[in-house]
Amino acid sequence: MDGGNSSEPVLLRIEHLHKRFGTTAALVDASLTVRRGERVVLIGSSGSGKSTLLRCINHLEVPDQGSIWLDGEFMGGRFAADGRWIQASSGELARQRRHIGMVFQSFNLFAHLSALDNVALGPQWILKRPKALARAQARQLLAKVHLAGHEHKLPAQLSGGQQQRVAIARALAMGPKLMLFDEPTSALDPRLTREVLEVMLELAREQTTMLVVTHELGFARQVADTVGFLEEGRIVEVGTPEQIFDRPQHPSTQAFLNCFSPGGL
Amino acid sequence: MGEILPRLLRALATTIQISVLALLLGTVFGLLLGIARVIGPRLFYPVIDGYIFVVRSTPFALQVYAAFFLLPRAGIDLPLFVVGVLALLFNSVGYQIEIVRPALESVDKEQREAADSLGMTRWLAMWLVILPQAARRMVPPLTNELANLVKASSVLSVIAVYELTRAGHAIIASSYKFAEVLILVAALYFVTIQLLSWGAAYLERRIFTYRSGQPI
Amino acid sequence: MEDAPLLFAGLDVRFMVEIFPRMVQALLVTVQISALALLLGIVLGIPLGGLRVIGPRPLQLLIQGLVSYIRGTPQILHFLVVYFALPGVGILLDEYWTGVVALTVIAVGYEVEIVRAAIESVHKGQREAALAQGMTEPMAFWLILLPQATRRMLPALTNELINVIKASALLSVIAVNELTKVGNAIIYNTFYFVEVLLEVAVLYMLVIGALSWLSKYLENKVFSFGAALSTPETR
Repeated sequence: MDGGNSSEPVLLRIEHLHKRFGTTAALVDASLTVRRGERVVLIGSSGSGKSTLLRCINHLEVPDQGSIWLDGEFMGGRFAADGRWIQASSGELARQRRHIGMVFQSFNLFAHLSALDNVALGPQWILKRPKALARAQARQLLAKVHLAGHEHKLPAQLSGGQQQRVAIARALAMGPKLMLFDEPTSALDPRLTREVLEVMLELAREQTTMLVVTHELGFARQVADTVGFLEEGRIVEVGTPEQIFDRPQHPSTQAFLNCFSPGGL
Repeated sequence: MGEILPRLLRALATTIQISVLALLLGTVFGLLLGIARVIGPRLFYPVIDGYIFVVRSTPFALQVYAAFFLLPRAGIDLPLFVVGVLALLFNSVGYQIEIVRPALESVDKEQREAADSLGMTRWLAMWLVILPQAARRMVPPLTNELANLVKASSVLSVIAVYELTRAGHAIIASSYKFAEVLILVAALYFVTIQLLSWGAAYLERRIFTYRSGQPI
Repeated sequence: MEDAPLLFAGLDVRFMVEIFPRMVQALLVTVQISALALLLGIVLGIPLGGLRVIGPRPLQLLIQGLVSYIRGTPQILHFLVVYFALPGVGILLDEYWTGVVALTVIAVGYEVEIVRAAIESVHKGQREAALAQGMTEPMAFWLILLPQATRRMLPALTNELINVIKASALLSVIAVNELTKVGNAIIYNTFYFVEVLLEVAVLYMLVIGALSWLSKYLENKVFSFGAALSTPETR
């Protein structure tokens, strides 16, 4: 896999992000950039703020402080001429989220819709594509995630791995600039995990810009251009997979990696 | 008894007509207000809550009298049947909002998040994702609501709407056969309401045991 | 001068103040008659509820049937039945007591279920322990089950009082001078529609609002340990 091309323009810039839940600090001064085509993997123990960071990017959680800048536009609002921050309306926020695909740990497929309808729903209703076109594209995407023949099954009739692949197709169908994966395999057994990771590997080969939160260190090493390690809401170390896995600098990173014996996929 | 029953059956048909009309019209308003109560502007919330409080904290008989007195007073002259439907509607909407709202809120918040992450607006997510899943859960309580409306519609007899109770009363007044009439009226109400309650219970089982007890 | 209406938002406030004492008196009749029916309902509901749980099977079915009938037919029908049937069997009561009897019938239909649910919510080990000690079923019921169940019944009984107060408005049909009836009478005499209806509605809402607050308070604060028992809301 080729390394991240530092000549590509920055797609996502996160600066000084803070988020508290009650008295717990979930994110502390988190900053990160993702370039177009770059694959960034965030690792760290549970509760370190990885998921919160991802959910802040598309404003499922509203950050307390800091800015998120996606492809030339602030997420969740804008600065007026006099420097005041103007919160985005829910409609503007919806428009911005269309550029960010999200894959959830618990799949979150629409329970009342078939696999095909799950994928076609967004293009048809949000992007206003003709129904026939939206469905044809949805078929292609389902085939791409190796689910041809499962189009008319309801989520409850699919395995976890199949559901997660439908969820990936659903996110891809919107033609997002950036794909967020929030622990996509944590709810799956090893065999189903493999199905999902294979699809994600294929996406990575196609230069999809991806920001992945995962505990699959083997996958991180194999796919990532950049790996970030989080602890207690802080991004304590960022580097290439070699830097992070082979020569971690920060004691916390070293301690975390000592608990794992990373193997290849 | 042979001549009483057909008259009571015709009156039962009126009772059912009034109740079904109030239920269906009530569902339209109940859905609109219930949705507004969940995702509408916050400004609406106290208004809707206040309406529900008024409906639930005053006797239905008083609401019927209010419709009977106030509509003509406001220059709106309507047939008694329509006044009765409107009074029942006013009452039912207050209860139907409280059927719609919990059903909407019972849809997992992950479903909302998935819709948000695709970039759906609140209203589109409501229409495409939340409402279709919540609708099935509303069916059993709405069936039950119809049973309640059949019961409540008897109060319309106080303003002389010629439904089952009023018809029974009228027949007693002219024939003095109170025992026969009351037994028949009670039996007709009982059977109708039991059928609806069983229907509600059956639908409840159908919907909630569908696929290993997962409420979808 | 004195007769000039004092208007607020188009309402004749002076008139509303003038009729207020009569309204409060009528409200007291409403509350009194409802409380009386609730209490008589408890007196009947406890033995019936107890028999519903531990009585012989045919009696259980009979009580179950009675409850289904009362709950499965309109309240106004119970008024008609009591109004026509009591004189039919030689019992002559005035309007007030006819109303009390009819409301008691309505209350019993729900209170039997409240008592049953409360008793069934007491752990069945309690009953077994009592029987193992040599108590008879009725003794176990009176000495062991009922005392434990009583506290759990209070929120549901408060709700049932609300239901009975709402049902008492139907007594206007048989000329009991409760709140709805008195309000209607004033309307027919004076044609002050809005003022009277508003005042009647507000008085009902004050009483019922306070009771439902009380019921929630009992459920949350005092009884947070046990499963809350509920009674269906009637109209």
